[in-house]
Amino acid sequence: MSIMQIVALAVVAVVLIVIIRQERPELALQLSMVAGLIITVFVVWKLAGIVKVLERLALRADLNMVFLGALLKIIGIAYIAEFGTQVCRDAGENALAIKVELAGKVTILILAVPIISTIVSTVERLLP
Amino acid sequence: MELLNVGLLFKLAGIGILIMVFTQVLNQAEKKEQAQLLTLAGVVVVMIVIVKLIGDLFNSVRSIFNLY
Repeated sequence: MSIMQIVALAVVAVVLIVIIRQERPELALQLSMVAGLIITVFVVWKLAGIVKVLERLALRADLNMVFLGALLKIIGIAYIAEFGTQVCRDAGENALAIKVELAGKVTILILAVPIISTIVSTVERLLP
Repeated sequence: MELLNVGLLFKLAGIGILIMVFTQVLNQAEKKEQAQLLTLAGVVVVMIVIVKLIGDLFNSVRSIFNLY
């Protein structure tokens, strides 16, 4: 049901954007952002179920919840940073897109530091 | 959830096309400034809708991935 609607929405949106791009490129950019946002919101809501299954599996494997929480945060940041980067690239602003991507990477790195330190300490304990 | 937004997309596309036509008409009628003002108004209206949609996206991502 949903994938057909999404593809139909995307195709219709693309046609409208091409019509508007000839005269008003700024409106065409905004229209492509709106179409992207609609599809992304629809998809993200589908992800909620998957995240719940992941949490249940982690609980059953009595994994430390800090790691799963950090992992989910990183995925969320990746999605949002990716959205911003692609919008900047659509508008032709590659420099801005790279800056947004850099910000996303730094934020993810900050979140990954505790996991890395845990891994290193575990390895140290394993070594003789 | 999907149907509500498709209507929104068509509304915005309608606004875009209307503005495209009106700016052409205004340009023919030697009223360039009003054409630019109209374009600005169109951009602002669409931007209001975009900001609301971006708010929805960020809130849903924040709630799902418990990003604070």
